[in-house]
Amino acid sequence: MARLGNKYLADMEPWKVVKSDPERVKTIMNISLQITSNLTIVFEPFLPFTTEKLRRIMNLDKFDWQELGRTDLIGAGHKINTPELLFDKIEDEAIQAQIDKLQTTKKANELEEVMINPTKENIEYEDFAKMDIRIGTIIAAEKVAKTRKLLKLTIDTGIDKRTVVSGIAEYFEPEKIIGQQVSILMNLAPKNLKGIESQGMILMAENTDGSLVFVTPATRIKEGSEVR
Amino acid sequence: MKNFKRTLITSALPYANGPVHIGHLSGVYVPADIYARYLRLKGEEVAFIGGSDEHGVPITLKAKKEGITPQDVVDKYHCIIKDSFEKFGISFDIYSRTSAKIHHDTASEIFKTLYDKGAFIEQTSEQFYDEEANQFLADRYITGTCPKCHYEKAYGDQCESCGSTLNATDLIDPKSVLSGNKPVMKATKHWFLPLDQYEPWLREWILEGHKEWKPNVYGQCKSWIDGGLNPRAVTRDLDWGVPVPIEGAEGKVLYVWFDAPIGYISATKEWTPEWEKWWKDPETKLIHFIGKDNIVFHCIIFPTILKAEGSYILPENVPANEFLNLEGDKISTSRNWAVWLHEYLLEFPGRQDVLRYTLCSNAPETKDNDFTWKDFQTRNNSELVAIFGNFINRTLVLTNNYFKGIVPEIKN
Repeated sequence: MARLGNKYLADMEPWKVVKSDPERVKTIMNISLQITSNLTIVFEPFLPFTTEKLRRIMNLDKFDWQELGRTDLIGAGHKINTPELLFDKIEDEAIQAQIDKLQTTKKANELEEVMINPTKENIEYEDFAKMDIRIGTIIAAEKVAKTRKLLKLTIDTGIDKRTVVSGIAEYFEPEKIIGQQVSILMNLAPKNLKGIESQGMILMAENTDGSLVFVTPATRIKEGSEVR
Repeated sequence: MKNFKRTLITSALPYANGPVHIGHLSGVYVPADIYARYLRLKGEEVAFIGGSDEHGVPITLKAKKEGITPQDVVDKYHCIIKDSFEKFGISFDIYSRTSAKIHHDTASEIFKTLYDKGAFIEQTSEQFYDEEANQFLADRYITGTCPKCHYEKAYGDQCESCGSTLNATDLIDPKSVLSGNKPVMKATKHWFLPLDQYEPWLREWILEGHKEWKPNVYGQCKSWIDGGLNPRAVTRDLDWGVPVPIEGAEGKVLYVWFDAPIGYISATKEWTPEWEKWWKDPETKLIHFIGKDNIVFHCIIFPTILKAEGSYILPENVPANEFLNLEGDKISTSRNWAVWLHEYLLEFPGRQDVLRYTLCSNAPETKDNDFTWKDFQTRNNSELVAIFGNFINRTLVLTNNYFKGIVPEIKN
């Protein structure tokens, strides 16, 4: 019905006719207003907010369904209010934001579904106690030249200040981790990595998407404190 | 066709363990609202009833998980749901809730009437029990493998993969949701509604008398009835719900699907003292708007309860819609795959009609349909703005420009 009205106006071109036959335009506009009034009835069950607004603009009360089809719903001489737009265009950005939001959900769901590795075989406490794990603080960090993953860290361990080479460069900027407390495995045999002697290893937790997070005490504590 | 004096429209009670999304709106509430508004415009006598379903196991599980009481859970979601419906113009005459006292009284009374009439079978049976949690494991407290489709995460009352309704004891390799342990069997007494005794009547009433029901609804009823109906427990060992109103039933409540549809009656009572004319006068036409997952409860179990009670009318029709998918995937509350109404209201303020329009243009009436944001945008920009809005705007602006806003006379 709205489509019909739209076509009627486009065909009748009142904006042209107004110059040649102003009387004819009266008829065209009266008919258009009758169609509009009928639309306030048919659309009411479907678009209640829009029809309410339209009735307000047109200064009309609610009609009964039985009056649908009348060609004199709105009488000559009736005054309508200032027109307002019923609908605004929805821009691509608003739609993209919704699609992005769903993508984020989808990604989060996929993460949830990643399989968690089963537990390893049981060990004795003595096996665990062999490891000397302590809390240290990163006091210097730089990228290891010509590598993608490696950072050269200087750690204050409370006992000494030692160098550790760590494969965390993809997740952390060197300048942003100065002062970060970490857990460090002190008694791992030193190993030469890209010409640098790494004395120990810092512990990282690996998230299901592969990203790395420091294993840090819940509150700041003294360097050299033992993790047992 | 019979001539009715008035129409009673009910819409499925949304379950108060989460907010409502576009799937709810498109399948149940927009169609029911359109029907209610249409009848009112025609000047007919209409009641449009809704409310939150606030009992049952999933709510107790959610409360346990969040460390709050079940009442806290339902208070929170009842408010969110009610507010979303209001803002979307769902024109309920009343929107109530099943934790209300009037509902507890009404559901108890109907249970008591059936009990006194000898309509139930009383039976002691072995049910799953979690020894660690000291609790019987009703419905969703049990998971295991579905005996029909072998889906591994089926619940004690239903398999969400194949849609089968199950008894907890049907599950293969059952586990307690509370402790993860394999449950033990323990004797407990329950009351059963002997659906099998009503089979001849259901056959006549639905299969012979309501061939005009939607094919999906009629088909599901037929396959249920042809598959053979069994007595169904209407009570549970649980501490959240309507207490079973008879002696020796301490610690037991009515099964949520026994009490929930009675919520339509309690809500009507809350709305008007003349509620009986809506529920007991054969000149009232009762229509249940629901989603396809609720067909058996509204077409078989609830009518059987009403029939057994004896003084109520039965539904004249049960228009159940299929499901709406979102961007190609099944809408899921637990996986947060949904467009939530309360979020839409914030993100698209004042545009409730655009969503209503999109959802009814694309309603899942005879098959599952898909909602996409691109389609939503196209419906708005190419139909509402470019056709409807454009026509109205031209008409109003030209009337204003040429005739100072005064409706001109027709000239022949």
